[in-house]
Amino acid sequence: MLNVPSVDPKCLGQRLFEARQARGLTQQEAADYLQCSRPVLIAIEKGTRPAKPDEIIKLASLYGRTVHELVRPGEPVSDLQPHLRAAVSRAEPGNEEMEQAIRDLQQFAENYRQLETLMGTPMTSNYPPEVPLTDHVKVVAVAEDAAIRERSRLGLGDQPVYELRELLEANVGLRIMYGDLPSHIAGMYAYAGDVGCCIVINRRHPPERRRASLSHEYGHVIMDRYSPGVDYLTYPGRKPGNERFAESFGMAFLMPATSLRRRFHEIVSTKGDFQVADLCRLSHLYFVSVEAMAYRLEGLQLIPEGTMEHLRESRFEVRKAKGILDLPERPETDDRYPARYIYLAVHAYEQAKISEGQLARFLNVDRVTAREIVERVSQTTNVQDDGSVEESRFPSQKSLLSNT
Amino acid sequence: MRCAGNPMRVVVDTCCLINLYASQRLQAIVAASVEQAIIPKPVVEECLYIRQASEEDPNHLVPMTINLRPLIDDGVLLLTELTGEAELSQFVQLAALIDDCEAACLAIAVLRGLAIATDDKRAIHIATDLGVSVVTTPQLLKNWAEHASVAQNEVTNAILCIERYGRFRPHALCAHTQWWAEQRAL
Repeated sequence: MLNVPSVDPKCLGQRLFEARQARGLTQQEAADYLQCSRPVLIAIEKGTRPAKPDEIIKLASLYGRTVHELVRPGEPVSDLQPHLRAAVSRAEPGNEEMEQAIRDLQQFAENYRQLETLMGTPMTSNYPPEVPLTDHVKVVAVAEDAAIRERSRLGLGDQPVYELRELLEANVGLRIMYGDLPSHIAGMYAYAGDVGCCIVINRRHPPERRRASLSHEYGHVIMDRYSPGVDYLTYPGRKPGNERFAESFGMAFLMPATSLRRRFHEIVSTKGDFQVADLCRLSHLYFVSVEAMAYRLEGLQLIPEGTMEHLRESRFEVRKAKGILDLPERPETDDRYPARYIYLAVHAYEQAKISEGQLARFLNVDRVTAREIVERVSQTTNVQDDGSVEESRFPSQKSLLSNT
Repeated sequence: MRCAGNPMRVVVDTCCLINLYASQRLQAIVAASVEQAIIPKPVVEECLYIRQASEEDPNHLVPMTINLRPLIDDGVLLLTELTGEAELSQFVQLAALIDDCEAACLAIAVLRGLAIATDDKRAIHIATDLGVSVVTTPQLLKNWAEHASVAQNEVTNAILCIERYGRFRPHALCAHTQWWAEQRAL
């Protein structure tokens, strides 16, 4: 016999409330659409008057949601959207792309939590201790120390980190999605009690920029964890303390001073010089932009201040220089969702815990693309004894603990 | 899983409809294997793309938009909507468990006493619990192959098209996986 969970009017009301707000509609407008009074709509949103099936379907259509999104089990992630929306409305009033990005982040957080619940694998968080900023500290020095401590805590030493997104998700427990943000925005950050730290990085930016944005957002996790915010590529005037901390932390985390100094001195002692080509090679080694590397070396007083400005004025072309030096592109996924999320969704689908429609919705793709993702995740490549390569289905559900 | 006999009236779920479309023989398969193929509106909205070979490189697959309109206009597929309090209520209840498309198909199947055509394991579990008969893509193809005396290469080609353009293969526990593999290899 099918066990259908009853829809909790309070959870449904909360989802309807948030969906209406996200759509920018007033209670009166929604009530008019439903052809009911405003007090009835308020009662539905409060959960004191259960919504009828036809009302749920109509409201889902009005708010651009599926019925499943509104009635699915579990409480909504409540404190993510309103806080971020408040931060965005101050900085980017009426920006529809940002509104969509907030909705996407909310959806991502809820989906992630649902998948973890279904699969019985909650995210293990291993957040760093917070670093409070007081009035009389040198922000850059505090950020530099925090980056060293954090690298030590995560066992990274002082070498370049390549798979930053995977590292911060697996070892720290951050939820990181790539979203389509307006091009002048680097990323967004928010914390919600039941899902923890959630980050959106601008998917439209090149990989080096995405990594810089991610390590910057990580700085916010350390410095002002409970303050949601939007980060821009540039700030007019002097940045506030928390932004200077996040900026300095991000650079120090990606380009640790000790290994950078060592490499710089090796180059100078070997060649007797440090040239533009060396700057490009170092930036490639640390997987950061040439600009970020130049500023970092300036900050460490290894090259003269103003070097990057000088290069810019002389119309230095990074892409051309990298081509001449034959520096290969580093493989970097621009998947919207992190690998763990995709694995959870695919395995939930394979174990019939979610349907193909839900899978496509979780992955934000059409059905056939969802099938391709399942193929990609479930297949493994084997090299046979004769050297031939064979693709086979990965036996993901086979127990390795039983003898049978 | 209860397998429905032939002929029958079936609600076709998105996953199965995509497969039939990708076979390039949807009309023939439907005509030979079911009495009436019914599709709820959410299924049409969800049935977006299959793959096709790129014009520049035939080994490379690119998206191709699914156009169900001619099949609906010709009466091959009967478009339907959720109607009445009981169907709406059943739909909302099921939507708590699965996506809207699958919930709509199951609600209609339960309330109108129809079978459901789906390959989705989750939808099949729920259909079985609800006492709804289930047919799958391999079963529809098998019915077509057996009842319409289709040439072997036609069956093989239909299977290969579904695999290539619909990116579908029946899962290991499906009753007709063996038949599928045998036909594919012929």
